[in-house]
Amino acid sequence: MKTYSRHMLKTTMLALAVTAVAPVASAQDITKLLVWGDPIREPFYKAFDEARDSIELEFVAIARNEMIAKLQLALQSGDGIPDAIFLQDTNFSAPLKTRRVDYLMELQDKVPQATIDGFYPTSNSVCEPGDGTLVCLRNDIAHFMLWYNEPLMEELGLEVPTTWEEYESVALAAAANDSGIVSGAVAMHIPLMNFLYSNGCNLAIPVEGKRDVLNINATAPQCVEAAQLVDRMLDAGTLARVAPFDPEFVELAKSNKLLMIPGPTWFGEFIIKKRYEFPEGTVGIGMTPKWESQDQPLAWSWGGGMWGGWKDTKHPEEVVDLLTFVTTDVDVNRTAVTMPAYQPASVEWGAAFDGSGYYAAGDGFQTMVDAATYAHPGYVSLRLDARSSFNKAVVNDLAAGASFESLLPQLQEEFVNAAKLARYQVVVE
Amino acid sequence: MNQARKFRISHFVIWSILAFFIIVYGVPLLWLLLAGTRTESSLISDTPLSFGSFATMKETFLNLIRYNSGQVMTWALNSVIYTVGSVTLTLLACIPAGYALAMAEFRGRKLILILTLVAMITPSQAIILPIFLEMTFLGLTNTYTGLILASSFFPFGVYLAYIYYTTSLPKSVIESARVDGCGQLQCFIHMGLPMAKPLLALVAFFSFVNNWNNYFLAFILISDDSKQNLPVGLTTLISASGALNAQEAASNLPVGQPEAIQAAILVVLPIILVFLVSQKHVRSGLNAGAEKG
Repeated sequence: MKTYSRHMLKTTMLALAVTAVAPVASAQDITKLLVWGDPIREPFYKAFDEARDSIELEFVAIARNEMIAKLQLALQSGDGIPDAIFLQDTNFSAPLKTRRVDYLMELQDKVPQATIDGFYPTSNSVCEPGDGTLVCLRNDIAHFMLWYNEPLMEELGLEVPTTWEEYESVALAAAANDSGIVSGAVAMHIPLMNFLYSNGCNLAIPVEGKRDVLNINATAPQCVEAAQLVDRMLDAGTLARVAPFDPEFVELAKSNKLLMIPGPTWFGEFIIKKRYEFPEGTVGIGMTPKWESQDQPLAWSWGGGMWGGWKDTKHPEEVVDLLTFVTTDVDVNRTAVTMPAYQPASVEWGAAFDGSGYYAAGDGFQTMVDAATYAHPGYVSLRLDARSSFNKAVVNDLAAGASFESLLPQLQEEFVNAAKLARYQVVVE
Repeated sequence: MNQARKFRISHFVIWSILAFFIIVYGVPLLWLLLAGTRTESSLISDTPLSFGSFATMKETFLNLIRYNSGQVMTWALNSVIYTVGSVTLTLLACIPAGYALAMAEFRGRKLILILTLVAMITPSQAIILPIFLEMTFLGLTNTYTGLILASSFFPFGVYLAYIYYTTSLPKSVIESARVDGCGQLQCFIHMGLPMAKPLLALVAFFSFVNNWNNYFLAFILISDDSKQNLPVGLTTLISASGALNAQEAASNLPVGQPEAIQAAILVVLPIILVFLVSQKHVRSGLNAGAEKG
C-alpha cells in the first residue's frame, strides 16, 4: 500500500512538473511579431495568426494619415518598430526607403520568383524603387475601368465606347436635347490624371533605371490633346465641373442622369452601388478606353495598398512568410474588399464579385482582369504629393470655369517645384 | 428722444453681434445634433438642418457601439480613466503650485513663473519627441500611467491658480495667520483650499476638456488598441471606413457618415454636459479677481 502511495506521489509530482514546464517550453518557441495596419486589414493578420501555431501577432491599428509620422517616431526612438506593416497608400513605400528613413526590407531574394510572377503585370511597380529591388508586395489593384448605366445606354441606342474619342461623341449624343445626362466628373486630381496618363502624358514618371529622376512634361502634345478633349466635354456639359463624390453629382447619378464614368476597380462596389445607388443589374463594366492613335489602352490607377516588412526585424523568415500569406492566400483574399493583386488569389474573389448578381453582365471580373494588363507601369510610389500639386494648379481653377489646357503650364511648374523639393532630378522629355 | 434712439441702436448692434456668433458657432453644433438622426442618403439629399428620426439615431449609434464587440465603449472607458487620472493629478499639482507662487517668497520664484508662461505658449508638438523618448526610457509607453503622467503637465492651470490667489487672497491675511502660529501647509489647507472652489472647478474643467480631447499625446504614447482613447480610436476607425473621405471608400467596416457623426457627438456631448453641470463654478472662477479694489 505504502509502495503504491509512493508510486502515486512520484507520478503526480512528475505530472505536475511536466505540466509546469510544458507551457514554458512552448511559450519560448512562439515568435511574437508586432504588426501595424488599418482595421480593414486586421482579419488578414488574424488569419495568419491562426494559421501559424508558432507565431503570435500583436496588431496595432493606425489611421492612414498618421502612419508615416508614427513610424518615423518609432524608428527615431528605436522602440515599438513594427515587424510588418500594411501601407494604405501607394505613395507610402517611397518615403520609407530613403537614405534617411530606411525601414522596408528588400524582398526580391526572399520571396520566390514564381510568387512574384503571380502578381498582375505592373502591380508591384509601387514596390519597386527603380534600382532592381522589391520592397513590398501589392495588396490590391485599382486600375481604371469604364462603368456605365446599361439600361440608359440601351434606351438611348448608344454603344459602349472603346476609344476616348468615342467616349466624347457618345457622351455628346446622350446629352443632346438638354437631357442633362453627364458622363463623368473631373474637378478632382485623379479623374484628370487618368485622361492625361492614358494618352502617354508624362507627369512625374520615373526615368527607367534612375530612381531619383522624374520626367515631367505637362505641355507635351499628348497632355494637350487629352486636356482639349476634357475642355470640349466640359463646354458641352457632358463632364461635370465637380468631383465624383460631390453631393450634387451624387444626386445626378441617383436620378439616372449618369451614363458612364471612368473609375477604378473598386468604384462599382463602393461608389456606384453605395453612393450613386444604381439598382441591381444596371451597372455595366467596360474596358478602359484607348486613344485612337494607340494600339491598346493605358489605364491609370486609383489606390491600392501594399504589405512591407522591417529590414532589421529579428524574425525575417516569419515576416516574409506573413507578407506572402496575406497577399497570396486564397481563403483570406476571397473576402478582400478590393481586387487582390495576386492573380491566383483574385480568382475566387472575382467569382464572388460576378456571383453577387449586382452587375449587369456576369463577366465583369474578366474585363477587370483584361484591363489589368493595360495598367500604367508609371503608377509608382513617389515622395511627392501629386494630389496637392493638382489641387493647387488645376482643380480649383477648373471648377471655377477655367480650361484644363490653359492650366497645364502652371501644373508643369507646380510638379517641377514639388519634385525638386522632394530631391528628384527633373527632365522634360 | 435722442437717448431712446441711441438705446435702440446699441441694442440692435448688440443683438446683431450676438446673432452673428450664434449663427457662426451655434448652427454647426445644431447641424451635428440633427445630422445624428439622419441616414447617409438623407445627409446628401435633404436640407442641411432637416431632422431624421430617433430610430435612425438609435440604429447608427448601435452600429457604432457594436463595432468589434464594443470596442468603442472600451475607448470611452479608457478616455474616462485617462481624464479622471490626469485631472486629479493636475489639481493636486496646480493648486498648491499656484498658491505657493502667489503667497510665498522664495528664490527662483520669478524664474518658475517665467518658465510656466513659456511652457504655456510652447506648442505641444515641439515637446512631443522628448516626452516620447522620456516615456520610452521609463518604460511607460503604451501604459495608462505614462499617458496620465504626460497629460497632467498643465502650466495653464498653475498660472490660473497663481492669478486667482494673487487677486483673491490678500497676503496680509496669510501673514496675520502666520503671526498667530499657522504654518504654510495649514494656511493652504485652512485658508487657501476652502476659498478655491471656483478655481478648482475652472482648472478641472479646462483640464477635463484638454484631456478628453487629447489626441496627439495618446496617438504617440499608446499603440495597443485596447488602451486607446476615444479621439485616437475613432479617428483610426473613421479614417479606415472612408466615411469622411470617399477616396478611401473601399472599406467593409460598418461605419458610414451617420456613424461618424454619432462618434463626433459621443466626443462632444460629455464636454457640454460637464460644462452645463459645472458652469456656475466655472463662471465664478473666470470672474475671480475682476472686482479687486
